[in-house]
Amino acid sequence: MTRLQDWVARQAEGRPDAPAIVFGPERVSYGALEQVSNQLARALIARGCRRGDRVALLVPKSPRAIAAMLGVLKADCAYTPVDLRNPPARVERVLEALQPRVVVATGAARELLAALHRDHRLGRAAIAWLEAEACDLPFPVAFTLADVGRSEATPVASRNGDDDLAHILFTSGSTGVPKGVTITHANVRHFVEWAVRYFGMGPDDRVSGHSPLHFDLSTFDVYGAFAAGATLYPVAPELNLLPHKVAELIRQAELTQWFSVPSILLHMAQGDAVRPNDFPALRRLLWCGEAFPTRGLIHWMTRLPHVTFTNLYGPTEATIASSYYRVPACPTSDREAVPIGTGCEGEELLVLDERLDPVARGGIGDLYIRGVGLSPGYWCDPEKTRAAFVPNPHDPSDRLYRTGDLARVDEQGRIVLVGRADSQIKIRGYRIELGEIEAALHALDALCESAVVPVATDGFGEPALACVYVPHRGAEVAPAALRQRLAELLPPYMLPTRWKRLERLPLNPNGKVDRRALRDLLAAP
Amino acid sequence: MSVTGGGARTNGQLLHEIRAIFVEHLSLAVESPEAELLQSGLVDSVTLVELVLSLEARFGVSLPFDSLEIDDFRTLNRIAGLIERSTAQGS
Repeated sequence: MTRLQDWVARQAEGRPDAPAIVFGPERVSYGALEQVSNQLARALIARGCRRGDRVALLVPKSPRAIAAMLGVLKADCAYTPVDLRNPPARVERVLEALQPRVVVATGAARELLAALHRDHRLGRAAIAWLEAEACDLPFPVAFTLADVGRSEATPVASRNGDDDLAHILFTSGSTGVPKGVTITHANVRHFVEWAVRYFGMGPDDRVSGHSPLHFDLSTFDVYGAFAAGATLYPVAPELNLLPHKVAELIRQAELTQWFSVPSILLHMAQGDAVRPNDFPALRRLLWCGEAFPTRGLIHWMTRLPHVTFTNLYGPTEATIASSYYRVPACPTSDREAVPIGTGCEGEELLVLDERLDPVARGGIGDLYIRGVGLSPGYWCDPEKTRAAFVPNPHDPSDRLYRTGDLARVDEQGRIVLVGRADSQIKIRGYRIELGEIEAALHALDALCESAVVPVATDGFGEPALACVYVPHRGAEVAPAALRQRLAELLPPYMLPTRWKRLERLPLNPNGKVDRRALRDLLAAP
Repeated sequence: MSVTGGGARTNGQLLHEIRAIFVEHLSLAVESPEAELLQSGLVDSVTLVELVLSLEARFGVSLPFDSLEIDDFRTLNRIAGLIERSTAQGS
């Protein structure tokens, strides 16, 4: 049995000086990472953390955040990385659901914590302040980095195992409340062990850490690197703004593996940041989270003939990825859809009809996943868990996860996605429930009616969010003001960037908002 | 829309126009010239592209992507500085 923290311990024993993480000028060896996470685990245990407790991490992506993740696991607890760009109201809802024993934070979370403390929203959670100094903080602190440094650094005797929760990741919920996906040690281990073998990852690999830590994909960046004994290069989020800066990092760090959502790859293609035969050290490029428009893939594949390109697919509920498709050759046409391929080891993808019977090859059906990656369910939400994780009618001891994606099986037996069965969309890899944005708009009480729809943009096909609204009779509302108020409830990637005022919303024959008509209306010049 | 160089504007006018670009093109009301735009997520990779194109059109400057630095976009004041430098170089 391997727990996620054991990979680091193994490397620390055999190769303590090997670099585990390189982040700008900061280099952290496996030995140092092991010691700091042991010390943090002891500090958490001393603070009352017990097996099964939750710890929220309000720490920006950094070696410190990763050490904190490992420390929490060693203390037999589960962690939740919180996106610091979330407004306090959304963080509050996550903490309320999570009831963490400890909130681990650094200076970047100061304002957010101050607001939560002022409004008495931290509950009984103690604050672990991972900064050396804790002067003039507007909230009480249980222990600091200096206290952590004074704890013993020898290995901690963790008792957690396969079925213990490793982390709980929150994603957009259609009713306006983010939902927490629980993930066990075994869920992550199965994927990581398969992927390290399949991709042939090893100690000489230099691996990108592009995804934010609250995002499921980062689990593979971090634990894939540690399982292989490789070096992880977390990418500072700000680099994403300028595509040539990301290209510079890949070049200078001589990364051998890049894994991200396609949007940054498209952004780099659009900014012409990739030269022919660029990144000579790069061996493999993987993407997940949403479809990579074929035009963008062709752009990359023609420039980097020495790199292998693999499409991974899978929702957070099935842990990192459930299927894979290694693109055998550069597609010849923009119109060729890239399949999501076939199940990873221990995972099966099924295209089923409404009676959960297989759809004939070529026919469209709902995509289900079964196998070792399936989450035990949503945190403290048995109702949502029952709705999404259904018993397998052919084996009552087995479960199927309904992805909400529509798919078909092509002539070669590969799965091809064809759309969504609900109103969930993806923007820059983020799962966005349009219902959550609409619920927030409704809560503002500033509009008579409103709806949010994704609209196509120019370039490589990343959609933008458009809000169509009807003001109260006689009232005037400015989109910039609405957006600002909405930013108090939603993270930036969920804020509509296009706004259109209408006299009334179009309805379909069932009396519901006609989203197709809205999309057509917004697409018209 | 008039396209003139930034050199004829005062710093206050420049800031006013940049703020207007945020409202018109990005539906974003920026509270002060020193408000942090990047860490807060107000400006992301997609809005940055739109912002750069709007700045180029409004001020008649050229802002090639591979010459840009992230620090140039941290605040409205920094963006104003970028426009002033680009105008001086272009004239």
